[in-house]
Parts: sequence; C-alpha cells; structure tokens
Amino acid sequence: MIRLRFLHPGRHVWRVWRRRDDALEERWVSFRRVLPNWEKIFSSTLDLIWLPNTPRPGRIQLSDERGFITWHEERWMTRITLRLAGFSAAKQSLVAATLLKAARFHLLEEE
Amino acid sequence: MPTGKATHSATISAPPQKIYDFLAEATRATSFIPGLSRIHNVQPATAQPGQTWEYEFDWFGLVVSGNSKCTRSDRPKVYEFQTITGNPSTWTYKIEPSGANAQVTLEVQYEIPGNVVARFASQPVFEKMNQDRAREIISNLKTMLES
Repeated sequence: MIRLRFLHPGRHVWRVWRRRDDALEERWVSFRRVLPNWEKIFSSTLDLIWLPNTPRPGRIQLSDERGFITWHEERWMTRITLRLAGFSAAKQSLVAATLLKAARFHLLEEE
Repeated sequence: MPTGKATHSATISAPPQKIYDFLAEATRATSFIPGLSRIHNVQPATAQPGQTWEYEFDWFGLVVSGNSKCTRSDRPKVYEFQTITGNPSTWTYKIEPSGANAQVTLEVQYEIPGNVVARFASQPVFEKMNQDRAREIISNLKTMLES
C-alpha cells in the first residue's frame, strides 16, 4: 500500500534542540496520553545496535563513556536529553536517529 | 510494470560473520536504512527463508507500508528478502571476504510505480534517488560496524 501522509501518527516525538562539538547533544519532547516505558524502549534499541548500556531510573548510561539518555516526565509530555560521545560524527547521527525512531514508533505499539 | 536496479558496494573493516549477523536481524534495519520508520511483527525471530515481517517506509514524504519475506539466508555470504506488498522489490546483500575485511554489495531490484513517477519525478530521477539511497545504506552500514 502506498499512501501520502503529512501527519504521521507516530510523530508525536519532536527534536527541539541539537548541538554538535566533539559530542552530539539533542533534546526531544514527547506529547503522549500514556506513559511509555522509556527504559525498555531505549535500552532494547541500544542492545539491538550492539551498544552496551546500563539502565537506571530515568537514565541510561552507555558503556565506555559513550554518553547517556535521560528522560523527565511532566503531566502531558516527556523531556528527553541525549548525549553521544566517542563515536564518529556519522555514527552519533545514526544512533540518535535510531533512538528517535524507536521513541516515535514504539509508542504506537504500546498505546 | 517497469523495473529498476540499484547497486552499491564497499569494503567494511569487519569479518563477514559480524556483518551478516548485523544485517540479518530484521528489526535492526531501521538503524542504517534511511526512511525506514519501523519493522514489527517479525516471525519467527531468527533469520531464515520464510521469515516475515511488516515494515513502514517513508520515501521522501510518501509512506509505504507492507510485508516482507526473507528469501535467502546463507550465513555469512548472502542475505536476501523481498517486499511482497507495498512496492515490490528484492534486496540482496552479498558479503565476500577480502583479507581481514569484507566486500559488501547491496543490490535492490524494484518495480517502478507509474503513478508515483508521474506525480513526483521522472523515471531517471526516481532511479537516481534509489541509487543514492543504496549508496547511503552501505555507507551507514559501514559507519555502524566500523566506528
């Protein structure tokens, strides 16, 4: 099936800020009705792309000082901060994009 | 319906087994295929001929969704699947040892949907976009596995 859609139902996670120096930092906001299991979403995605990580409440730390992802819940939204370091700039972008896709589309399956 | 083919190769500094294992997990494809939004409902979990999954692909603003089926899994040499609904295509990854590295080739054979071409691009432009995308996929795979 091929269809034209301008507002994708998964796109209620938005990147609102990005900075790149040696590291890549991004901030996202998610508007949601139900509280997603962010720890499961992000940790399983990092596992999938072979990036060892340690989940903690509200935070996942990547091994070997490769960065972290944190999330802070508010009433209708979640603020998510991502920092990736120690990879090439290209890999930082790919990992960030993969995590953003996971945040957007895992939501569909949990709701 | 007319068909097209996009091919790209690169040397990746990783053993063939590692490259195959990265490629052959269907859900991992969202990490290196631009525009691939999600893969879900993978059955059974391990790559084998007959394994199926559902995909959703954002092709320059057009959302293409459908089902795929693994058609060949010859570890660590060849991994192949077909998109059987949506826009029919066959994706073949060939992995050949090259010293301590491997030569990886992606070949995508696809049908050219006339309505999409008529509406958004000429056929040569459509083919160039797909060739560029094949190049980007192999480049991303190299990035994910090397750096």
